[in-house]
Amino acid sequence: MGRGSRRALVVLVYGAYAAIAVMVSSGVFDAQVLPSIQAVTAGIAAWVGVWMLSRMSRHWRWGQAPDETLDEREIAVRLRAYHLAYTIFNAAVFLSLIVLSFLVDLGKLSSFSYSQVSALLWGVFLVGWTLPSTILAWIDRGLADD
Amino acid sequence: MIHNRLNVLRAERNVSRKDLADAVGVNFQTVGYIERGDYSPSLELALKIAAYFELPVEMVFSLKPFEALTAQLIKAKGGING
Repeated sequence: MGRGSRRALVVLVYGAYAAIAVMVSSGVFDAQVLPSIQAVTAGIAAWVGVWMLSRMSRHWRWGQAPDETLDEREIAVRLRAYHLAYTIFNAAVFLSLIVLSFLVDLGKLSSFSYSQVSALLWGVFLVGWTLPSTILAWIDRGLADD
Repeated sequence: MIHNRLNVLRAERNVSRKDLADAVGVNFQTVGYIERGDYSPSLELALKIAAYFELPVEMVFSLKPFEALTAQLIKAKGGING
């Protein structure tokens, strides 16, 4: 899979996650489904999504593979991706905490529903899990891209 | 940047990227990245590659660009008319 296709896939996957997060946080499932069922279903859906992606491009497996199965270049590229992922994730968490502290100051925190908090937590989990592989898929210039 | 003669050596000995990669224990794409100059191999990998071609490492890798083979041949024969 070429870099262009991989980047399109990354946009598609993160777009789908964002759409699901908006749907969940809008409370469309609240009346019909118990919170615990929602959480387990979201976890299974996330796992199935990542599993499907790992079938489509080796970059998703590369991000999680043990060092022994990679060569020195692959380990070096992955370290770069981990570094970028760590920086992005850290910045996102920092900004979220700043926003959260303003919401506390303004007394808006109690207006969040369970679904909104659930969507946020699952979003953090999903991004934390998939970000290194996503960055690998985004930055790697495969030989087929020449 | 480390320059190399992998392309020439592979062509000369009819060795595929995969054959070389399997022999030195890397992914075949890594051989491509080294050939292209996009990745500089570790000393261990450079020595393994040189050993595979049974050449001193400085004949396979160099910090300076390699002279073209035709130029070397001309030099060896003592000039164009030599």
